[in-house]
Amino acid sequence: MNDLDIIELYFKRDENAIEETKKSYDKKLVKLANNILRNTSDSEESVSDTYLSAWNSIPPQKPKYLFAYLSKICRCVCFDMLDYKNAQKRSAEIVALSDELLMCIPSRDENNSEGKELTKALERFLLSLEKESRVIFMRRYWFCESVRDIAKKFNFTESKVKTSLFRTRGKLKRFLESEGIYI
Amino acid sequence: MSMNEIIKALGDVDEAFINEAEQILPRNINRKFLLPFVASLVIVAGVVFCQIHFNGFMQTVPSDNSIEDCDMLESYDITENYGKLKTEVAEVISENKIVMRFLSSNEVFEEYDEIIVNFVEDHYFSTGDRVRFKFEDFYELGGEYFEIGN
Repeated sequence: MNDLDIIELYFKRDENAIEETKKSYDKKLVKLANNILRNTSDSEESVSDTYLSAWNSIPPQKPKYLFAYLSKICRCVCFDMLDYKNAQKRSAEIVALSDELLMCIPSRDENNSEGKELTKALERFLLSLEKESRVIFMRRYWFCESVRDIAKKFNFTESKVKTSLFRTRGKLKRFLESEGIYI
Repeated sequence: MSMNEIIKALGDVDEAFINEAEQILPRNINRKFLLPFVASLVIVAGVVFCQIHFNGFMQTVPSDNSIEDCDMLESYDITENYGKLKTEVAEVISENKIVMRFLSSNEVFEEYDEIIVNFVEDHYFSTGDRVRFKFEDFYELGGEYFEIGN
């Protein structure tokens, strides 16, 4: 069943919508959740919450890309769960991701930016990247995949992935500075 | 704003970016299979090239036909849609060039009594040797190996 058919089920309030969603995307969503939470049961719980949230939000929402929509919810649920479970101490992976991104953040300044503004800036930044760099960046920092997994998935060497990420972080730093965004 | 907020802010980017990243990059087919795949293609292309341009390198005219045993030279193996033409060697010009005289007629060759044939490799014929000759040979390979003479 394709995405449009599944979304149609949601609009008809047919409970098979969730079953069909599971059939299509459960594995990917659990993988995404596990990338963030590093805990199988927490990941499964997050994915269940994702389905519930999708059920409650479609309609009125009509996602153009169903998996992207679901994974966005799932990612958000996972980060909320992290906040809930361990407000002060992030999981090791998130700490690692944060450390990587630390170098691309301009030095502290009086100016602050709202999350939405930052998101818009990030979108402009992503658009400025070449597709390969953008996909690798998103795989690492959006899907929270390890460098090894990315390299394996795209048949790159790990050093190529690391180099790409390093350069992209450098570009992000310069981009944020040019946008006047300081953290 | 903490570093994690960058990651969180990234989470709100347009779904098109997520969808794009979710797809496998098209150019990254598994390199383990790339070399054998390309090698196979080259071999197949080479075989096809040889079949077309050399009339099948494994099925060329036998190169060791002596004067004694080449009185009936098997024709090339192409199709048999046009039947076979019986010819005999009217004149030996050189070891790879002969004049063949038609012993049977064919609507395509009816205006010719004889043709000059250039073989790719040297062959040993003598006048009067009979050569079974298929029209397709001439037609397919005319530009490459054969010349028409009157």
